[in-house]
Amino acid sequence: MTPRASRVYLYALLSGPPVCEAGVGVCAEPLRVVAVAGLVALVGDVAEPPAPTAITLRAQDTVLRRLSAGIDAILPARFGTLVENDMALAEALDRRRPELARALDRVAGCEQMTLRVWGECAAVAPRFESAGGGPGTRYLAGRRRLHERAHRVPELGPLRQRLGDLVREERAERHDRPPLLATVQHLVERGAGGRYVDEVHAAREAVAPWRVSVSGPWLPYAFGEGAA
Amino acid sequence: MSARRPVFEVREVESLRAELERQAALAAAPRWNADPEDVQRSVARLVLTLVEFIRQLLERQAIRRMEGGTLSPEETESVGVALMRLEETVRDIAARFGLEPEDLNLDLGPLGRLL
Repeated sequence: MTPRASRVYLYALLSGPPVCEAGVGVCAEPLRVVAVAGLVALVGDVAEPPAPTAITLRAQDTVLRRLSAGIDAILPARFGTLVENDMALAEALDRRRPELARALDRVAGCEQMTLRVWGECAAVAPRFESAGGGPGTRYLAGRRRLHERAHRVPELGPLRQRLGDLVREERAERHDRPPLLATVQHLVERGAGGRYVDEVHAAREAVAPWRVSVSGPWLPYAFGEGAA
Repeated sequence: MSARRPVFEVREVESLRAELERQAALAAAPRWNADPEDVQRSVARLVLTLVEFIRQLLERQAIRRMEGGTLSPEETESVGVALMRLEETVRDIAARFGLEPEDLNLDLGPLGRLL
């Protein structure tokens, strides 16, 4: 059986070349830094993408953290992103260059903190005026409430007041599968993670009966929509 | 630093693991690959996924127009009923082929999932 030709595995987009040696990737392949479509991409050449396991996910994170040192912005790609060759990569990136450049600007000088919100039941949603009308109108109004609620975490109200300007951007996702109620990702300035954690701990009583756990700092995985 | 380490209850860890497994399964939505032994189901899955994709686009557009006040009450009711029946129909047909709502998705490679 002929071995499969290598393809290009995208690790991340960078705001500039790394200040250290690119080194090797998750599959022990030498990493390359390529300038394509006005962007800087960190890639490796592999026959197959690594299987998504806890070990390979951590390994990829380690690679990216090492190379992010000294770089203003890093936009991690979706784990397992593989294209045929450099030309295909350039075409894919060129099509989305404006949004990718915006995403790089957004995460420049920032890191990500992750909150998990725990509890036995979700906060009562704010009351909406009755949609009235027939079943079709009520159906659309219900779907609208569902979309709005999917990204709202009112349980964190008191904590948000404390965090104030520490948070540059937020991504929230409701799970509503008790005890896990929601996950909230915050983009904060690099180095502000310690203060952020202090504020979360200080707000423990204020957010009761819900409980909030915090982890980070992480690379801005939740804010790289463009590179996903 | 130990005070900074997050402390979890067992139930919370199990709950988080279940959620991660659910999301990993969604992220691993298979590419469409017709199974010769089960062509009807494979075709149904593909067609229903595309119909569901279009239904969700129409729904978002209808909600945007409803919020923007560019739909009259009669139009809102009419569009809402149509979308509601379309959703019921997609679910009914999917169930006949043993498909769950989560099955109606496609992996578009580097672009992510369709839905």
